[in-house]
Amino acid sequence: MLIDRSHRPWMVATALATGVSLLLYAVYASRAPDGPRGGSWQGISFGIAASVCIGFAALLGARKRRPHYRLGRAATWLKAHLWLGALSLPLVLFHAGFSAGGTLSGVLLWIFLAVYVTGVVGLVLQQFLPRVMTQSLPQETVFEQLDHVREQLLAEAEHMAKGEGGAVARPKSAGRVQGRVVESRAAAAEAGPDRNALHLFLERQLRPYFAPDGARRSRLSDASARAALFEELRRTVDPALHPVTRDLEALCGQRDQLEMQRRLHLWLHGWLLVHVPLSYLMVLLGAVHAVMALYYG
Amino acid sequence: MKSSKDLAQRIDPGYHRRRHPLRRLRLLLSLGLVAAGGLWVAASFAFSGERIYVRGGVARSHAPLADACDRCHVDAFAAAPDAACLSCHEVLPHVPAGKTPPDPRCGTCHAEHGGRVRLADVADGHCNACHLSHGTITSIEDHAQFERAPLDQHLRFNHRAHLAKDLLGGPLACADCHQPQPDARDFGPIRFDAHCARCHAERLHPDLKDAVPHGVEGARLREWATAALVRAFLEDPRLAAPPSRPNAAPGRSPGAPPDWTDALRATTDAAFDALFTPGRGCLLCHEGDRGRIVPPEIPSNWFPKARFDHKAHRAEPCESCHRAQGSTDAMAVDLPGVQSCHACHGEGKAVATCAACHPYHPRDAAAWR
Repeated sequence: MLIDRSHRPWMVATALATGVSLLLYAVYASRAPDGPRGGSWQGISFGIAASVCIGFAALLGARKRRPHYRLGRAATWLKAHLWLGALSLPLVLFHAGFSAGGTLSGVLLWIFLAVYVTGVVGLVLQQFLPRVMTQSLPQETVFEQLDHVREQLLAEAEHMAKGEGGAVARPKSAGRVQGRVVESRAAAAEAGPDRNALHLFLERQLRPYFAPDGARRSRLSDASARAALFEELRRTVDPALHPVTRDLEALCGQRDQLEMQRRLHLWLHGWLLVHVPLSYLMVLLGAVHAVMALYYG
Repeated sequence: MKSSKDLAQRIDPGYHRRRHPLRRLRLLLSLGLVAAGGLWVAASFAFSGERIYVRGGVARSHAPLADACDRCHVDAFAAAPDAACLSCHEVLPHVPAGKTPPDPRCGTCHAEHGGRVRLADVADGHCNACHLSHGTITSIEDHAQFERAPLDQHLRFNHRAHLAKDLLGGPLACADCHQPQPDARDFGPIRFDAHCARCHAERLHPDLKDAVPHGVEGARLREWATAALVRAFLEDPRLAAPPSRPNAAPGRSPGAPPDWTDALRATTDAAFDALFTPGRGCLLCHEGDRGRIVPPEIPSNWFPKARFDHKAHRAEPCESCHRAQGSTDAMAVDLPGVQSCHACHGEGKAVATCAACHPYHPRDAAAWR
């Protein structure tokens, strides 16, 4: 869980800072003859405070690229990123006086809000998805290796279907590995049983399913349809090959998990595709906004 | 069942040397967005100048300066100086030199880049910031009663009498005497020759053509009267017939021919008596005594600390504010009180800001002191 009890001091400090800012803004707004404006000294003060919060939050990316630097714990940096980022919203709105202002400041405000919203979405996803993955993906692997593992599973399926690498119905190896590893058996190549049906199944069903984007189109991606297909296969093949069909079915289950891991991983990290690029753009336009606003007094 | 070794062999040990596909995409998107943002700023600057940086358009009156930023923003990293405003606008300071607190910057009250607004419409908060002695006025209902010019006019005038009678072929209307100035904000002063002489011209003698000049008094009036009578006697000797005198003057026999000097003096005295009889002649309207008139002091602005715009109220009939039909004494000037403004001005109605009636910059240096 990303947010736990260790965040309580940060949460309290952020709430206090927001409350004080709100009080100051209420006094300022009620006394400003022309309404609150970013160009007043109070507005500039809120702007500077917001810039400091945003700037510090943006440094998290740089900190991650230099993990060996002795600049505090990464967890502390993440907390600062979360809570200073949260504090930046009221400060920005107080700076802007709840008004979009000119073209640049309006665009900047909307980009900021987009960064903020994607950050909140990312926080919620990071809070709950890891637990879901732990529970439903016992064979989770490295994301970059998903295609590599998928190809290996296909190779194993080909070996099994062709009867290479071991005796039928006899486990080649057995052992407990970390996590709940689906039992896998390599079928042995024997001259006896007729494997034509298996070969046909491999070509028509398994190979398309193990293709890079095959999980979307194949009936094997649906658990009940997959069970029905393998049941039908077992009725057509020699009973001596039934263990092989069960191994193939288990491989399809692993393939299914790989696809699920890919989807969850995209949810878990996909929001960064919006959050990070928009953050860079926000920093650039924010700098332009600050310089030009101060230049024209 | 697969062993740990079998499972581990599925992993390519060199995977970490390759960039994560999502990270690669993130980097590309970041570079693309930053480049697009930089291009947008540069293109905006190249094609539309500094417009993307400003909060809003310039005020209506400054429209010709919309693209001439450097006319006002003279120095970098500094607010537009007052000198830039004063290069076009000639205004007197609100606070006389040397007094504190000094005048704020022009831009403090006249905030530019708020769109096509009137910069003269200054928010009340700017006034309340200093004029706390009045209390914080948040609406016209909080406004104190109007302060009027002193009522020592030394003039009598009966509005009711003038409005009720059929004088010039019908009852007089307000506009017969109160004629607007060229700017139509105020009315011009009432002048005897233009507004009164037609009915109130005084003559020294019923047969004299020349009316008594208005505004001349004392010895000069007597000189004029003497000259006018001599001229009249010469033109018509019958006018010089001395008044009947039962007793001759001392040293003169009763049958002696008439003395022109005596006749002139007597006629002049009689005329002056008539002119300065209380309630008649000059003293019908003016205060004074024989040969001397207390000069009337009619203020040009009845509200010394405010400015009323009659033009802006031209849709309203005069009677809605001034109940002149019932006024019998010019000293009881029929000026409306602040409550008469409440009907039309206030929240959700016509403008009721301080600056709408109280000009911040005086018209002349003597004002506001």
